[in-house]
Amino acid sequence: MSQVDELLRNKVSYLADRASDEDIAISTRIRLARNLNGLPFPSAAAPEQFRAAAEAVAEAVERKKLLGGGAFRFDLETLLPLDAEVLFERRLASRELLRRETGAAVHVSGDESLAVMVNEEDHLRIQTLKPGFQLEAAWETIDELDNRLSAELDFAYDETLGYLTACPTNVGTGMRVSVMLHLPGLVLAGQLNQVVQGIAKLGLAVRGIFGEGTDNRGNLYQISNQSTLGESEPEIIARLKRVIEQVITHEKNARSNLLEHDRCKLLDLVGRSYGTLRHSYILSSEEALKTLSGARLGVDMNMFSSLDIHTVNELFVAINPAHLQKLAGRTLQGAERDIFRAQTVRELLRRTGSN
Amino acid sequence: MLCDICKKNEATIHIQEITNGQKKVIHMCQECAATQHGQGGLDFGPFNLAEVLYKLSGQSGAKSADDDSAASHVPAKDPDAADLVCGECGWTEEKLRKTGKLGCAHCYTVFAPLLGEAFKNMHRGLSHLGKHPAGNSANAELHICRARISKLQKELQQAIANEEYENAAVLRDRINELKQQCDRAAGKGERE
Repeated sequence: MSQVDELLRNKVSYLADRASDEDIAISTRIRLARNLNGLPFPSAAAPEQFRAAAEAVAEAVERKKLLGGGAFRFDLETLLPLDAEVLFERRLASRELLRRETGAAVHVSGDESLAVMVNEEDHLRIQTLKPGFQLEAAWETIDELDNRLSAELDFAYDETLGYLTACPTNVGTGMRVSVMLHLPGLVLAGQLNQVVQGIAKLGLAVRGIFGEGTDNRGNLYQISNQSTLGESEPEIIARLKRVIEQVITHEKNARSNLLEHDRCKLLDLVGRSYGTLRHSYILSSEEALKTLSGARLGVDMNMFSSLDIHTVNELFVAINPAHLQKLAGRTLQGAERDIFRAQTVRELLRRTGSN
Repeated sequence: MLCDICKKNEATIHIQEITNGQKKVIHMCQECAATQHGQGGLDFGPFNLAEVLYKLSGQSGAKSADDDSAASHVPAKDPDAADLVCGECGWTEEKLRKTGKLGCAHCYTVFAPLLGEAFKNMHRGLSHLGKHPAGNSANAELHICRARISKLQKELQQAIANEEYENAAVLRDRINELKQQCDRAAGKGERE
């Protein structure tokens, strides 16, 4: 059994349970960019320099067991493309890391809550992923891991500019904090654009999670900080937190407004979503995301007695192409994949006792 | 800040050029930047704005999920100036303009003249106020010192704005004291 197969037995860390009763903020991620002194950044590195960076990081992480006992190490060069895709779908590796031909690796803690990408845009991208809205807890976790890493590795750091990163947009703290929000209420009420414009004015970035362009079928949005220099980490986190709390309040208001004034529209969306998931035989990735978003909204608003949040979360991951193919145990082309996706979703919903 | 062209969307692209000591700045939204490029560029002097815009419109679809490229923030090139090259890693000014990235830690010194302006557009300040690598106690002292100065400077501005001059004088003295302390810490903390 490969290491990736072991991962597949885990519940995905950022969705595994609900940290609190917060259902709008799905997950919190903090990522720190760090580089090693004495080696050029990956942007200018030669193959042997990629390897030197990868070895230095592996040595530090493994010898000191910085990611705990059951940690994984994936060397992208020797990993099967499908397994690499699984890492991407589980948010443990980025597209940029997957494209790197030499020396790319990712170290992952046994529960997947911590990961260290090596030779992405920077030598190290250290991340923590937590379910729900847990900015402070995520900061504590990543701060500690970063401290332990910096005791082993010599990070490129300047007294004035802070941590030096390949891209000047990350210099300073090297920190990118992002919270994934599920905002179907604001989308339905047609207020999302207003909120997005407002957030942009505050110097924060908003991005749709799945799919390209503006058509975000899963109603999932990620809000993150843009500026990394001139504020301390806790200041950045506090600023982001205030904004996100407001977005959550807007989403809650939009939902209760819908319930009060447009009840049928809401029930119809949730009902159709569930019906599609439960009864379709061909399910595209877009349709799956859209209907899972509807089902999640229904669960959040206590409309189901039989469908629970765990099942919905599990499906959000299971419907991704690489996960489906791992489950099927073979390569699935487009049309075949949509059929298998529908089958997987139906079976999972049946198994959890809903009808 | 609104886009200078459509006056509707939030401006996310800021282009700046200094020619013969004259500074020109234009703020655009992504859409207008792409449109302007399609129409052959803006009437914005002889410098190569088209090149800048080309990179912008090219990257808009393909940029990575987490990072905005720095290329859009780097001020346009002065045609008379020689290209900067990093002596450590060989990174060039052209590569910086094209990718928005640097090649190594030393590049921050080499390309400092280009980055200073860019930082103002990208970030909320020009110096780091966050954490520092573990196990460097002299640096830690320096750091705490700088953070205190920065906090007091904000208070000082507030005090002046409120016309609380007595308070302002106290703050000013405290800042000067801290600056000396800071210099001592920096002397100790210098590496190698």
